[in-house]
This record gives sequence, C-alpha cells and structure tokens, in this order.
Amino acid sequence: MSIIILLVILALLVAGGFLLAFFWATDDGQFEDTETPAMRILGDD
Amino acid sequence: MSAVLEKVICHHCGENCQESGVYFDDKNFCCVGCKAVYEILSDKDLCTYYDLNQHAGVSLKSKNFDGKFEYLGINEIVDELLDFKSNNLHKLNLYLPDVHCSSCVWLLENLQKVKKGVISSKLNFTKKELELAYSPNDTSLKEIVELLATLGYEPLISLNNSAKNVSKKSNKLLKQIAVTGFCAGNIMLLSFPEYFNLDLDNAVDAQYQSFFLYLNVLLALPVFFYGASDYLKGAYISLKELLAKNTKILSVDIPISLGISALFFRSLYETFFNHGGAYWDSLAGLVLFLLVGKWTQTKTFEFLSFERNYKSYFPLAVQVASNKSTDYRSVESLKKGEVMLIHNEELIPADAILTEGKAYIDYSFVTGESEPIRINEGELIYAGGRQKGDNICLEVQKEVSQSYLTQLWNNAALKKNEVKQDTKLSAAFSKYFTYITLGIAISTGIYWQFNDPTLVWPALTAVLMVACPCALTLSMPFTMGAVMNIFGRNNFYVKNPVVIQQMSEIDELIFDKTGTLTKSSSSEIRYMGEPIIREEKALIKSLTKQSLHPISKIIFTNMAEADIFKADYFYEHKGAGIEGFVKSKHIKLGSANFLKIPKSERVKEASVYLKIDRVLKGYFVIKPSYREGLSEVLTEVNGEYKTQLLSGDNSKDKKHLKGFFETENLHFGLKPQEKLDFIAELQNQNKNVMMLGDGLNDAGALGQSDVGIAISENAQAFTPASDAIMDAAKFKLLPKFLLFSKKAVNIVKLSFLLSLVYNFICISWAVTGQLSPVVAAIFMPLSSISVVLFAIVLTHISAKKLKLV
Repeated sequence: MSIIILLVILALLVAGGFLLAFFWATDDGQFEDTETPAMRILGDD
Repeated sequence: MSAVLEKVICHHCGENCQESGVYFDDKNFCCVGCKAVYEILSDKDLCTYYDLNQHAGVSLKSKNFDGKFEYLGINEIVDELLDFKSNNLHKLNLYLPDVHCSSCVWLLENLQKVKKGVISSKLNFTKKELELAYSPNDTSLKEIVELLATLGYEPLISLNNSAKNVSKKSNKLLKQIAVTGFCAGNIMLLSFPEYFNLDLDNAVDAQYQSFFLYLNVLLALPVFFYGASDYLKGAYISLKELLAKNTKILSVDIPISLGISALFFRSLYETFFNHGGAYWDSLAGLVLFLLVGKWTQTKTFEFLSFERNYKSYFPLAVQVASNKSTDYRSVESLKKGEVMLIHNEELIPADAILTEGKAYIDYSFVTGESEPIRINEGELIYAGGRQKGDNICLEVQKEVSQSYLTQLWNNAALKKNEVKQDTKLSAAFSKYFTYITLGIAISTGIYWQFNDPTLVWPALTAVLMVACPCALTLSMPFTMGAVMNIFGRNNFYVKNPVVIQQMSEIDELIFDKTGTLTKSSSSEIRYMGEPIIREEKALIKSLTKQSLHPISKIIFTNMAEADIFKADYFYEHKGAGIEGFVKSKHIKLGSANFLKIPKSERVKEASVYLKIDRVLKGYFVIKPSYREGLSEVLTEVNGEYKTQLLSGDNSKDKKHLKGFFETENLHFGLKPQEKLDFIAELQNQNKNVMMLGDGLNDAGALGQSDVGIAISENAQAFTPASDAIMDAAKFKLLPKFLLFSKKAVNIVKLSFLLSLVYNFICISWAVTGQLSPVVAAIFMPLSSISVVLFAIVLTHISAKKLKLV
C-alpha cells in the first residue's frame, strides 16, 4: 500500500513541472499580448 | 447595352477615385501615394496584404513628409528613442496609431522583406506598438520611419517616447495565483482522508495520516510566505505607520493578515502538537480567493492610455537656426535666446517671441478658444500654440520645462494622483471591522479564561480565522470589475475600480464647452436668402479657402462640390469679415456692421452676411452643433447634481447655454490654471467634483478633480491624462453611468451585510471553541463564493434594468 505515497510524490512532481512551465511562459511574455498572434496566423504562408 | 456607371474604388484604401485617380496594373488608385504603396508591395511579392482584407490600406491623400522626419537623422535624437543600441543592432518601439486590421499585422511583420537592414519587426495589435530591430549599417531609423509613413503607418514620435518607460508589467500576481492554486488544489485533495475519520490505531492508516499532514505543511509554506506575502507586508507597513501616528487609517491588509496568520499558526500548532485537525485547506483556499479577487481588480483597458501629459503632444525635435545653418535639435535641449523655425501646422514647444514671419496661432489646444490669433512680430507666443500658415522664426524665452503650459504639470494636484486609492467606504469598513473582530476575539478569550482555560486559545484563534473580511476584499473587486466591463461595453472606459466608487460620491458636475458639450468638428450651417448658383459657390469657396477663421472654414467645407479658383485679392478684417476678388467679382463676407447692412434688413439669427459685387445675396446661420441628447442629459443631472460650465472660449454661446445652467454657474474665458484652481476651491468646500473635458487645456482640471472624464470622438485617439475616457457618442448615457455607479456601491454594501450575517453565524460557532477543520473548510469557501455570486448577479440584474447590457 505504500505505493500510494510514492504515487502522490510522483504526481506532485509532475504537477510541479507544469507549474514551472507556466512560470517560464509568463516570464517569456506569452500572456502579454493575446490578440496579435490570433491575427498573425492569418498571414502565415 | 448600356454601361453601368460604377463607383471606382481605390484598390489600396477603398476610397472613391475622383478625377485625380491613377490607373496602374489594371487597378484603380485614388492617389499617387496609394499607387506607390501598391508598387512597393507587388514589387516585393507581398500582395497577400490585399487578400487578407480588401482595401486594407490607409488613405495616403494629402500626406507629404518633405523634411518632416529630417530630425531622425540626428544621432543624439535617435539615441533617445532607442531601447537597445550596439554597433550592428538597434532596437526600439514605435507607436503606430493607424494600425487597424489583420492585414496591418501581416504587412508590418513582413517589413524585413521590404526594407533591407530591418532584422525583425513584431507588432502588438492592442497597443499598436511595433517592436523593431534593425542594423544601423544597412539602414537608418529615418529611412524606416519614412517607409512606414509611405505605407500609411506614420509613427507618432513625441517627447514622451524619449522618456523611456521600460516598466515591464510585473507578472508577480499571476505567479502567486499559480503557486497558490497549485498548493491549494493539492492540499484539498490530501486533506480528504482526514475528513473520513481515519482509524489512528491502525498502523497503515496512521502512517498515511501523518504523511498527508506533513505534506500539507510543506505545501502550505509557499502559500503563506509567497502567496500571502503582499498582505503580510502591507499589514506590517500599515501597522508601523499607525504606531508612528502618521495615519489613522487601518488598511484592509490588517484584518486579512490577522485571519491568515491565525490560520497558519493555529494549524502549525495542531499539526505538531496534536497531530491532526489542521486548517491547511482553509488557509490555502482563502489566500487563493483573495488573490483572484485582487487579480480582477488589476485588469484594465490596455489599449487606452490614461496617463498622457504634455509630453505626448509635444514634438521631439525642432528646427533651430544658428549662423546661417539650420539643424534639428531635441526640444528638451532648447535654451533661452535660440531661434527656432516653425512650419505650418507645427506645435510651438516653448514660450517664445516672434521674430520673423506672419503668425496665426491656434491656441485651441491650450485654451479651448477656437479662433486663431494673429500675432505681431515682437509679441510673445505661448507653448502649445499651433502655427497656421507660413513658416515663422521664434526666439525662445523659456526652456520647455519652464514654459507656461508645462508649468501646469508641475502643479502638485497632478502628482498626487496615485494617492487617492482608499475610498471612504473601504476605509470605514476596514476600521470598524478590525476593531470589532479584535474586540470579540479578546472578550471570548477573557470569558474562557474564567470558565474553561483550555478553550482560550482555540476559541480566540477560531474567531480571528472565520471573521475574514471577504465581503470587502472579494465582493468589492468582483462587483467593480463587472461594472467596469459593463461600462467598457458601452464605450466608457474607467481607469480602475476605485474610480467607480468615486463616481458614486460625486456632488458637482463640471463641464467644459468646446469639444465636450459641442461636437469638435461639425457645426450646423444654413443659408438663407437669394439662392446661390454653382458658380457663385465656387467664388465663395475660393475666397474662404484663404482664411483661417473657423467660420470661414465651416463655409468652405460646406461648399463641397464647387471648384476652386485663385483669389486675385484677399483681405481679412480682424473681427469683422473677409473680402476679395475672385474671377474679377468682388465678394464680401462678414458681420452686419462690416457689410453696412441697414438696420431694417438685419436678421437676429444671422452669423455672416454675403455680398457679391456689392449686392446683398443672403446670410449664413451657423450654430455650434451640440452633442446628441445634451438637453436630456443636462436636465436629468441638474436635478441631482450642481452643474457648472468652465470654458476657455468667449461667451458667445452664453444665450444658448442659459437654458441648461444657472447663469452664475457659467464661466467663460478661463485659462487652464484658472480651471484647475476653480476645482481646487470647490474641493476646499468639501465638494466631490467630477469634471468632463477634452483637450489638453482641461488636463489640469481633469487631474485636480475627484473624477476626471475625458470625452473623445475616438477613444483610441489622444486624450489627456484622466480617470476615465468616454466615447462622445455615448454622452447621452452619462446619467445612467452615474446611477449605475451608485447602484454598484449599494450592491457592495448589501454584500457587506450578507457577509456580516455569515460572520455572525461563524463567530457564534467559533466563540464556543468548537470550530472543527471540516466545518471551516466547507463554510469559509462557501460563504466567500456565495457573497461573490450574490454581488455579480445583482450587478448584472441592475445593469439590465438600466439597459446597459
């Protein structure tokens, strides 16, 4: 049954990875301009 | 077969092609400029531009940049604009007001195909900002800007650009929400087993229980130290100020921090001494709610700027003449005694004396007075005036930062803007709330001290924990956020939620006249008398073209379909009228006295009489056109508020406005500083003042007033610093906006009441010392959510009733 403990820790680590990815995205400016990319796609060849 | 005559439409910009149209490559263009753009685009194989949006281009009629961007050749000026500079890379941001559709995005981001040397260009559509990187070895900023202008996206480069504001939006709050959300979700999940009564005598169950409990402690640490850090810091600072007796206001951070800390330390105690029954999930949920509430408060209308000062209007550089040569110099480096050269339509950046040329100065920007003023050589011209006509030479008298107009911005009123954050409502609430909560907590503690000392701390902390000011910190931002959105849908953009509360506290409304009550562009014009034939219209048009007087301009634009001839003779009699010869006919336009009209033939409503070859033909009636619904708006607000008019213009419209305002409340001929002082005087009498204005001349008054609303025909265009921007077309909704703001505040008060009921129930539970973690975990989020829902639903219902949604 102690497998649950391991799984909980693993789950937390995976979720923590997503949290880090979110941090990276905010720092990279992904949420600063949410309108232009939608228009940019129209012109891509 | 008959040919159908179709309107010929420009392939580039979609305007009608008239005789001046150009035919090229099987396509029609309205002017050479549009054709040139088409040529550039087709040459570089960029015609997808036209596939994305038909007629996507910006009309290039009457655009001429001869020498206009000459100053961008000066290195010092370019350096001021650059965000980054190295030997082979320059980076900067340009504001392009003409960006309007997806084709613009496409074209501007393909700039490197059009211009060699451009390394990358990235457009932010909402902010209309182009992020540009180029290699200074292959091209120059001047060339790029000229290309942009040719394409129809003339960048707006003002003094403001040089004051680099690299204050990048901090993402701290977003990150705090992410961390807290992550922790809160996991804590709630891990707390579940606890609520199902684990059998602690069973070794397996006991092992899990302590594992989950200590994992929760670990997860709660970032919530407390990172997520809640701003509240704790805020409370600490506020407490320090309070103890130093600098202020009497209790910031709302104090009761919040009390609750959060009580939860945290009580849970620590429960975890490490009792091995169970901790409130970690309540803590994380509370902090998450608080942060989300705060986030809704920070949302603003990004595409608008509420902070424009004179720097956004002033040019960056001006031509300076010295020792027979002229060169461009940054406006800020202008010194007393230097001679500057001002061209037609250019803004004068510093107080100066006219030394050469004919000056017609349009001060509408500064004073609201719409007639250009004739200035003679040797007279002083104030900064902010715009030259109409020929080139003039001016000798600088004061540096830019010292001039009459810019002095207005050194006024303290415009700097304290940031301070008026706490409103009466929230300040009062947080004060009473804190004292009452503390009072209950302490008396509970004292009571148990005498009856059952083991319950002192559980009961005392429980009171602090459940008595969270969630109404103030949640219902307020959510309600105000909803109101802001509803206002935004009606093209009324509020700077922040605090403005809505201030709107509800207003008791005097102050209006500006020109551009606020009247439309800035058109006037109503009627011609009475003998009909004028097409040929005569041409004569009148040709003559009025010569004059800069606003009435001449109105007549000129209304003779639309006529041709223009050269006037052989033209003379403007100041304050009387104009006369001249066109095609050897004598034409005279002007006041009754000027045209020597006999008393019997005079008409009361006439503004301008017309004589052709000394024969009276008729007269024009010109009325400034007032905004739609003006009389309804003013009658409606007059009942509830005291209304006054402050105008920089002369009192010629007094008669008309008498119907709407008390005569003693009409004030004409006021300078910007006088408007500001007027409002400050009212505030000294403890009045809450709302000012509605438009131009830079009102900027001081808008800044001084409690709520300054800038009215604009086009909200995206330039508006002075203000608390809110209103689309002129929605002016008739003003009474509704005011009413809605009052309702919103009432809704917040109602939700205060609701949360007080919750608090009453919770606290009566807590004082008995029986608050279990499960009850707290269910009851606290439930009360927060229901209060928020209550507020939002009520806001939308009352918006519907007012027909704002």
